[in-house]
Amino acid sequence: MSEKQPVAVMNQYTQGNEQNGQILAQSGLAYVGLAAAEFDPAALMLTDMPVTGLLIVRVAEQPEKIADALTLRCGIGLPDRLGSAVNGHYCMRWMSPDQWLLSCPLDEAYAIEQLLRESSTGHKAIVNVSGGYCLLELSGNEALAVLMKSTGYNVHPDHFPPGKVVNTQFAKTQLTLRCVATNHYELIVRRSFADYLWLWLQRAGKEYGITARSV
Amino acid sequence: MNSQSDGLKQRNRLVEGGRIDRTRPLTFTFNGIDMVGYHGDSLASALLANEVSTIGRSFKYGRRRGIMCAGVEEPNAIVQLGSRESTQTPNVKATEQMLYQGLVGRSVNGWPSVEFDLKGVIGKLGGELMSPGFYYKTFMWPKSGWEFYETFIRRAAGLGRGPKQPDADRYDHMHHHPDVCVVGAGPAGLMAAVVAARSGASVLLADERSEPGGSLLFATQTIDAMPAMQWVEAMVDELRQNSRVTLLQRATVNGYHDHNFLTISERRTDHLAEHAPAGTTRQRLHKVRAGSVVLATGAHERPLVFANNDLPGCMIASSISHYIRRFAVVPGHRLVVMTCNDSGYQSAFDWHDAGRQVVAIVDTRKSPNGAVTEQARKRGISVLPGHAVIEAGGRRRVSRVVIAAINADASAVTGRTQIMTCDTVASSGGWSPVVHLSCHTGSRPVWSDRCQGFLPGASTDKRWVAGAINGLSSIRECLADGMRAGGEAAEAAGYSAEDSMAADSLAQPATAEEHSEPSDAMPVFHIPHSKPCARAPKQFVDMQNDVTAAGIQMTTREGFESIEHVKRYTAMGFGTDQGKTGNVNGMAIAATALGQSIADTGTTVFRPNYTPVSFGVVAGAHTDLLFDPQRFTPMHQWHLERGAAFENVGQWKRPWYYPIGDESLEQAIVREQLATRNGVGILDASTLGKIDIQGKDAREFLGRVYTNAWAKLEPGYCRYGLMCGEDGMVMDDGVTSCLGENHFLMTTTTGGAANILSWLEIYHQTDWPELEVYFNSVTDHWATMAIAGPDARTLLEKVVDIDVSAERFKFMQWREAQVAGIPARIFRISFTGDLSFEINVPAHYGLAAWQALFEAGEPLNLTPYGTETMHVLRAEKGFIIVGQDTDGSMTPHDINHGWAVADHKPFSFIGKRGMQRADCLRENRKQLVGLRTKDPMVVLPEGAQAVRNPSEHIPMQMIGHVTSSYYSAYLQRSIAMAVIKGGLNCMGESVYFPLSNGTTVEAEICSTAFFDPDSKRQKS
Repeated sequence: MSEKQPVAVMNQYTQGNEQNGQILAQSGLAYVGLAAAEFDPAALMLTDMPVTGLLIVRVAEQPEKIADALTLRCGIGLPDRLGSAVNGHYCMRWMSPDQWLLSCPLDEAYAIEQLLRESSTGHKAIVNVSGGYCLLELSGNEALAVLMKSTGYNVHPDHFPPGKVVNTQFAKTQLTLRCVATNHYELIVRRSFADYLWLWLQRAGKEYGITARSV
Repeated sequence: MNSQSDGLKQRNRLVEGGRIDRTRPLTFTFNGIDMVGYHGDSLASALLANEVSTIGRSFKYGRRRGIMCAGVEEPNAIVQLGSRESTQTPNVKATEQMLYQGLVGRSVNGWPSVEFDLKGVIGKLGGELMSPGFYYKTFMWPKSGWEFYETFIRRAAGLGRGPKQPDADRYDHMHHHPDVCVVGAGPAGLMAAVVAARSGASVLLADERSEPGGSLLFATQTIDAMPAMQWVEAMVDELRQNSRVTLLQRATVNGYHDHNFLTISERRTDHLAEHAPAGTTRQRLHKVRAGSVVLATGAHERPLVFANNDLPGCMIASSISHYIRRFAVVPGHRLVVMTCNDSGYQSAFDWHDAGRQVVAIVDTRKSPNGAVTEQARKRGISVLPGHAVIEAGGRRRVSRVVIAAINADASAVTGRTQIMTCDTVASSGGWSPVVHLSCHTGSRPVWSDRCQGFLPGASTDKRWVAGAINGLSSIRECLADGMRAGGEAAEAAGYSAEDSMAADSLAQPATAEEHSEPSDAMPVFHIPHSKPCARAPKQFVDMQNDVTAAGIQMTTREGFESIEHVKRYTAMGFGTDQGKTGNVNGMAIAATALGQSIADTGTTVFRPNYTPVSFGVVAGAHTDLLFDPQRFTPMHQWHLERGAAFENVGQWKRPWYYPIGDESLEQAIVREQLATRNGVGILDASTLGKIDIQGKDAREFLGRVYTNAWAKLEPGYCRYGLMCGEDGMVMDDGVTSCLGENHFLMTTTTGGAANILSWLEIYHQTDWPELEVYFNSVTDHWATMAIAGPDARTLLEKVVDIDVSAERFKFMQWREAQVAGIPARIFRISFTGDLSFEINVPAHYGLAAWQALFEAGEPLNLTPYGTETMHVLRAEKGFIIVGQDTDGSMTPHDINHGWAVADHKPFSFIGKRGMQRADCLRENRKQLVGLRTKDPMVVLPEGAQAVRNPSEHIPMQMIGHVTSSYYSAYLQRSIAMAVIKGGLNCMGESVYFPLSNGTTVEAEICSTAFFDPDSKRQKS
């Protein structure tokens, strides 16, 4: 190491190398070999989303500076308690009073991390955890029933409307649950628990004829 | 053969009426006899239609028992279901079980068979053998008696049996958070649910029966000028069309827990077949957190206690109406009704209207003169006021009753007895409100003289009770009560019943009841006999546990005065029915015997569950593969394809070893060890806990939670750290790397990762919130692969874009690099004592990096090794595993890690004071040392106890034990680590290990560094 930098920021994205060609980022369920399928909003469907950039953003001081920089770059700020902010491929989720989770295209995570670091001098931490989680989406008319089988959190639309985000227990794992739209939910689970969640959702969704796909 | 052809005729079935579908006959088998019933039948109604009187034998005396009730309160008619071993279901109430095509049922007890039961013979000899407290008394004296009785009792007693094969069905759970939860879909519950739903509240209505309606299923009244069930259907239609209403049928609310949390078990397919249809769960446990709760659980009719009242053919009066009107089954030919109130008359009317003979209505009241007596007279049914059925008689079922006049408080027979011929006796002793759920949260029920029953006590929750549970008896009153409760419950949940409801929907439905002028009921529970209670034939209180009135009296004579003691001594109320029909009668008999009121006697405590639930529904979907999550690394698929055997480490699946062909564990790990020590091996270390630490006080924080110093660790360097609890005992260890001046990456043991993150957060949030530092788990983000062995650098050079020479990349440093084009951090650290690099790449590139290493490593014979080889390699170098070589009672000094304790750090650290306690500083503590067995081929068992003097007599003085022990393929001898008292000062001395097989192993105490003690290899 040459000079003493305060924090080691690292570009963790690769297009690949000359020998191997493109190296694809593999989701935690890549081994299942899910086929791509048409989206049917009514049918109960589990979608294994492509690996996305994920940044944990923890801000103790000057959140407004972080929010401004983020708004300029991504068009979204830091959402309030239990909320989310979405713009295209960017989604910021409130996680706790000083913590947010940003998803962005995988190849932008490094640039955004640098931008956020430079945007304020206050105490904060930004961590690239793109590899640490799997993003799944659960959709269809019976999606709510599957959630009700899986979590003790009140997911009734009265209480869990589109845009709301909670971190909660889900079967015997824990995940970040966001209501994307009516009958459409996003599940962010630790990568090592993805297989468990996959098995669980297959069992919970069996009676409704769950189908799974990748995109 | 006779009984079979008789059965097929359904001679007790009426030609019309009932809520059964005569176009859908269902065949079923009971005790090996084929029978036919109809769709809509319960198993009990189908058995009664087929004139089956004896369903089982009683628990203690082996007496014949038949169907007594029509619902959940049934004590006798419990059966074993299932045609196959895997579908065996014990203790199903025939009254709750709906009939399905092909049902196979058996009696649960009766040995050797239900028609000839040995206990029945003994029971007839007298109750002395099995008096109350029999079990207690037998245990006490003679002590050897139990041995003798037990074999006999175990075989003869008991109810049903569990399946010996795994359950073929699946179960699940579902959570609900309704504004209002209504329990029971009788008149009050339906009304409450409808009113709450109309206000806009979300409503969950749970009912235990196969169809809603409650008592209206067999009522004669009209509501809103229509037959009661038509009104029920209209209400249910309205509820079903409301998307904010959930209606659960066949769903028993079994538990009412604190803060309006209810557990409901729904039998989803038990009415369809013994095995759930494909894709469907058999039962579902609903976990409901409700804003408001309305209990509309109704009331159970009590039987009267008289001699031989357990004979098949003795039934509860209302169940007669239930069978006739709902199932079109008349369970006999000649009926005698005994009642102490008006409601008992209805059974006689329904029996009479079905065209069968009512012998008499025996009314215990001196002069009943309400509308019902008038009705009876109109039908030509004789009423005997001031009389009682004091005894039933008959062999296989009731064939006669003994009637006598009784005095005004039903304490004595006053006149001569007469005998009436009949085959069925219906009795009504009044109604017990179903208060069970209201008691689950600790509220005690309150005796009411007005309704001669216990009413729900006060509640601190938003809970309402409505209908018969409130002691109300008319449908009109129940509907009004339901309206009130539903409206108030919705209002408490934030909805206004009045605003959102049309005026006309507020109006209470008009009801027409046949007998509107009731005469008072007489409080009577125990019918006197012409002989004293103890001399009279048995008068049963709790049918399922064979508890008699005489038994309760005897129990009070023996000094048991608390009703809780009476319950435990007699076993009253302990059965699967939990004494739903017998408890109040038993309490009344105990009260009389003790010369006190029922209110003073009180009740026993009702606890969840209201009815038995299956283990399956409690487990839900958390079974087999989903019993506990299994965590996998990004390279797991590769390990599987390579044929790895796996080891559970916490919830992780880690490769244990990679057998080639039919290699054994021992063969595989020898190969893996040698390949690594002589070439290069690779380990999937992704499961190690990894915590990203950022903030200007990160370094200071590390200094406080680790025992060693962190002030001078430069970016680019790594350091081993030891963590202790406040007691100074080793808790975790791992390497932490300085990524930047304010940025560290901590590694923890695989199993300790989550606990250590919590530990850091707790100290940060509670003790040192002023430190500017953030912790984030990156365990799952980084895939970690450790390459180790003399060829590790050669391998790394092939795939890396930086200079990894010994001069430019030293031991305990880290570098950022591209590994086969993948961004990586490489840590030159070692858990083998060999030249080693740990490569971290983002998990989504983990498999690609792993495969690239194997591609590059092929000429080097890159060998994957698992945790077993890892254990041996680290032990060769004397590296500890926290939790194996330590056990929570060892300080860093005990494990010879005093070098990792920096006592002079400016701020204290966790464990500093703890390890300075006198006991931690004393001489002769157990200390971690190495062991070389005298015979190098003998591998000591882990846990073996060490002694100084092998010829000492037992009990020998034990001075320590083996913590780790392996055969080292590289060193070609066994190696071991042990904790020995004062061991660090005993180098070269011998200790002995007497083993359980009688041999003794001698070993020499040595350093734990068996391999490369100068660390030349790992620094090379």
